[in-house]
Amino acid sequence: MKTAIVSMLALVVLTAFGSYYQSPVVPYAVIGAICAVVVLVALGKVRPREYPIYLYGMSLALLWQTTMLGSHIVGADIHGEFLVANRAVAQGWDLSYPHIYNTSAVLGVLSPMFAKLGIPVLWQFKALYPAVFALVPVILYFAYKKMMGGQRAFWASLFFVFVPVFFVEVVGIVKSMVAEVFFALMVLLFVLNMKTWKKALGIGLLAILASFCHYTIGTLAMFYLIGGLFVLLICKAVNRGIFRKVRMSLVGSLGLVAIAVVAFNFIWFSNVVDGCVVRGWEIVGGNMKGVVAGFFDGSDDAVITQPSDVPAESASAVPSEGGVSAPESGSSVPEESPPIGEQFYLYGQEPLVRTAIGLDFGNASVGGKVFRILQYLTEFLIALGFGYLLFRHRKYKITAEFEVCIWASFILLLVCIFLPAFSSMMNVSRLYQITLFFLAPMLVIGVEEVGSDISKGVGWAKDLLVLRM
Amino acid sequence: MAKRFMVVTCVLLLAYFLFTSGLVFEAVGSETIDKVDMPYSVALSDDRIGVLEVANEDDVACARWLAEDRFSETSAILFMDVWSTYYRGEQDWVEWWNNDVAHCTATKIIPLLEWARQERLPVVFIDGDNVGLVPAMEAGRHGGLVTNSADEFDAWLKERGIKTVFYAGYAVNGCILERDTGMRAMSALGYNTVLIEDCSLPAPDWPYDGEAALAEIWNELGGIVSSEELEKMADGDFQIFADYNGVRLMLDYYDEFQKLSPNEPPYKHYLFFTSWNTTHKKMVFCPTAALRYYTPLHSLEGAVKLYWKGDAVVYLAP
Repeated sequence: MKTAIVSMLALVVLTAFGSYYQSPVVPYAVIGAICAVVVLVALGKVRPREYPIYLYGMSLALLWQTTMLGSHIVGADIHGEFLVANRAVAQGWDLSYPHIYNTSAVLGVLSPMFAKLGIPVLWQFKALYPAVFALVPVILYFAYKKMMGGQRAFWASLFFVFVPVFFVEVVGIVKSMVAEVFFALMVLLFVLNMKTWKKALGIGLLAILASFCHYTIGTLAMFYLIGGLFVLLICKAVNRGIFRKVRMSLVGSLGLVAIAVVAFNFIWFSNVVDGCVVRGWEIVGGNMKGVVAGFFDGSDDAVITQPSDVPAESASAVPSEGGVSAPESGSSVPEESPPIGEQFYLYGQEPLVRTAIGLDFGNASVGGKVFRILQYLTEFLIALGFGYLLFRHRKYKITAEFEVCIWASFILLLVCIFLPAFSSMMNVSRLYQITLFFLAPMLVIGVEEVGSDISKGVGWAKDLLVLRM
Repeated sequence: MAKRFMVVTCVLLLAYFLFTSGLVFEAVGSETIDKVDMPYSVALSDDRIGVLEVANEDDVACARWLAEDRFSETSAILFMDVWSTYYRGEQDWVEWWNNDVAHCTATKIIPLLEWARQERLPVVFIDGDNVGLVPAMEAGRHGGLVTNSADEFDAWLKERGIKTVFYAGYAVNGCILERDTGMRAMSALGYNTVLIEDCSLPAPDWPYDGEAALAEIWNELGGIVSSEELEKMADGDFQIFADYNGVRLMLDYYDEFQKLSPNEPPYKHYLFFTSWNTTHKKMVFCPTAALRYYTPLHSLEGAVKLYWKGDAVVYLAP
């Protein structure tokens, strides 16, 4: 335990100072250290009770590698947050100030509070909030551990960390960093064995806290509650597998909580900052309706409206997979895509979506192609993993609530891929990262089950050969 | 979990991480960031490709200057050697230069001084050789500092929190640059020194060429403005570019930068901003790392280099 604490402390301190003074060696040292830890874990040289320490250390090192660079904040949207937070520190949280980031209690309440405790806004953004955000993989580790044991949970959490959205994009959105901690706690509650009403109440409170922090994460939490409830009702109607044991009290409690969360969100976001978030929802909904209607009508006249007061939250100028992230809401269809209707419509989707489904494989460099193969492998293993999970429930202690969220995640991803222009209205890479809260364990299940089946297949083949001989 | 599966997962995730950490991108020396190809890392690759232009303290100082400093509160105008008479030297050129100086003094410098007093801007008069200043300037009668001492000048500036000194007077390629209170010396003390070009003149046949002096001021000191631009800046009418969203910022400025530097793609002009108490004027601000992507400053047609600290530069564009 001491080794784990000392080594990770040394890693994060080295990262902090090295990044601040822009030492060229530090990023390589961080990558090397992470690789070393991962190998040691694979070889069984690390005790399972040390996994959370290593997870936290590696996560924080990756985050600070970016946020601690130079003497000021790093990113694109973070500057707007800096603006709002400094304003709140100087003048208090003025809910009428016309900036959508002003809907966030992280900037309006937390930042002034920490400033009063002597932590300047600059260092909150550079050091404090990333240190809080680094807890997300640890919380997810404990959630996954309940379902599949410590070792599998470690690999699943590690995959979550390694997806670049974690340490490249979200790190440039302070309000999202805090909101995702509440979202991770929601995931933890989904897997815990608790009294139904306590679980539902906790989930509802955490969803509301997530909304307080970031309108996007709050919206997605709402989606998971509503979408998950919908899937739960269907699964309960089918009444097979783990859903046989689902009590209607859970369904009812979650339903009430979902209504409460939706009501809170509408009331809160209708009244703060002149209702700009609700306007954004209306425009996104209108755009989706128009595009889908236009698609089925065969017309090319689908017009995407961008809300003028909702800034395109680009997350970062640094792309998650080598391209600029799509703005969060209401942006126009990307320039590169041909008009819908002239080609197969999937070519009109956002660049990252086209990458995810392999439509731009031919245009990538050699390195880009290799990366894409790895990415497709992870996507394939996630899908396979879920397939195996459906048929091998007893091996893993997945709760019904968690499973419906996996279904909801797949629905969200499919909508992103196949619904025309949906992906250009929402930040695709960030959506993918949120779905990984539920899908990351599927990768590990996929690797293990596919590996197991291959081993069995090889074993049979060997036996067959021996018999023939 | 069986050990062999742990190893397989380890291998898969490590291979994935080598890409997502940006290590492969850096190792192959890729520069593709304008489309989706491979992930890259700010920490590893920013120095090479300037993907995010990490800010340093000079950048922050520049941004704070734009955000928090007000023109009239942190700027002063210095009138250098606006003498009442020019004595003949060994060459005849002095006579006709006298005419130029007299004309400039009457039509540009005196009106500038009157405007500065109207705006209550701090003014400074340097009479370098104690020749005697033009009486019309009434130096010392309406406030302001009359001095030849760099120390006194420095202390006076510090007392008033002045960070930028605009220079008018004579001569651009002589005293304005070379005196202890001149642009070079005050710049070395950390002040931003800017020449008001139409309120100054270079001396002809001087050892240091007038054009070379202007180039030095433009490239190495605080830059050059006109009196008209100065008045616009004080009035707040001068257009500068800013926004509070990095991506939109680049897109907003792309057209402007296309006009100014048509060969530079927009992503190389990462525009740093911070200005939580700005009055919604627009500003152009270039962090240090972005400078290497700019074509030489004189090609930024119409842009005025307003503030300079270290390598960070603030431009005002018309």
